Amino acid sequence: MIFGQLSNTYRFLFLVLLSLGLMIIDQRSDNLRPLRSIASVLTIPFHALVRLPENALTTVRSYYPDDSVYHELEELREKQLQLESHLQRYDALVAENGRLSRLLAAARRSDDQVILASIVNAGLDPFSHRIIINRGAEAGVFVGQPVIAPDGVIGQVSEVDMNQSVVTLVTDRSHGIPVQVQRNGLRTIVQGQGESDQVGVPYLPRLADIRKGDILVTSGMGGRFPAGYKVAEVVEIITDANEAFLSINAVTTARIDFVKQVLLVWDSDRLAVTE
Amino acid sequence: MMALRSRAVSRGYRRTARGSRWWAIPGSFAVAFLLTVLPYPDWMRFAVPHWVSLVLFYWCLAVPERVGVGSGWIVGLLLDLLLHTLFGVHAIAMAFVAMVGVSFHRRLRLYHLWQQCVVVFGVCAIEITFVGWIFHLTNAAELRLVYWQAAFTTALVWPVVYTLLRFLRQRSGIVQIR
Repeated sequence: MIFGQLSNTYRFLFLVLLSLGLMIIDQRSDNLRPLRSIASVLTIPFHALVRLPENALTTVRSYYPDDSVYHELEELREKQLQLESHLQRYDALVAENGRLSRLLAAARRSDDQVILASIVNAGLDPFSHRIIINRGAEAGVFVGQPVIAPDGVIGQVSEVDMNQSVVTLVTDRSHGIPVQVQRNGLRTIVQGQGESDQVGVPYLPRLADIRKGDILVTSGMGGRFPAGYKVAEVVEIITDANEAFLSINAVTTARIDFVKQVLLVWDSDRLAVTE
Repeated sequence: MMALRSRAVSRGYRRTARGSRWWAIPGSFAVAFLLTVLPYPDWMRFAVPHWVSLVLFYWCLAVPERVGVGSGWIVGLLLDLLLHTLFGVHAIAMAFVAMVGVSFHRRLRLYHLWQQCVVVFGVCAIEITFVGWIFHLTNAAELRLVYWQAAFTTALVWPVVYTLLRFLRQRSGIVQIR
């Protein structure tokens, strides 16, 4: 209608120019954020509908408990007891740690706040490693927020809509995270490689003290991720005399492909600063 | 000939004007969107057919007076919204698919299904190249040969999509005019 008698090619060229403008605005500024945030409501039914069969199955199963459920309940109770007993020691340790840090006049670390989020969609496009989770601006999620699973870091929030947000995984090629070797405190970074589970540790000199089996934990450098969360485990170190740097392969400690729920972290140190 | 065409036109519009079957085109796009965000197993990651392109291509061949470059562009914008990509990336890709479909619809309709498959493969390969290139520029994604797997699978499922959508079109009384 708007185009009148314009030929298809001219329409196409006009729309290409328009899209290029949109892409540049979207890439360089946040002006389109509100629009995207509101319009993303349209996409929620699609994600919900896709997850419907799985959710329905879980609901139906919950009405018909079988023996395995009771077994699981028993196991969980046992685990709960174990954890509670551990926790008693933990409280004492936290208190002791607080006293010691006061002695050293260092900042006291307390617990980070977390909330649980479900993964709504994984595998948006083949070119990147991103997932959608079901918490957004309404839950106080912010861009750059760390996202973890019980056994390691998953990634960080890269886009926030009203009721959902996009998480860029540590395996995405555009994602780097400052880490240190748990054994000796050697600082380095973990870089995504665009492969599921696999990450790289670039720029370590050939004589660096790193071994197969070393655990890499967040170092807290850069101020994005709180220190001490597991990220990856070194599985292979290739030394090539012709290369200045070691070629190190590591796998993420969180099994990202199998995770269904993740934790959004509010760094206690940063909360303390802002309050 | 004229009489035949005008009868086809009036019948087509009467059927759809009654308001019962207007949802065929948007409905098929909705299903394509659903298929796009379906959780596929990891080994299929690079081989998921481009459902939206297929549906768009079909409607451009069948009813170019209704679905064209402009609708393709809007569908592409919705896809950008759904996949959280930069606004405009899939919009350009879909507008391109629609342009090829609409510009050559008379010739393409005469092709055998397998010949159409070859065209679909080419269009899809160009689309992947463009979208992959944008990701390469903005997201540091590496361009790898496996990305073009999807062009093969998309071409392979074209006959199925074509047959299903033709059935849907005939059932819903949408008539080819030109």
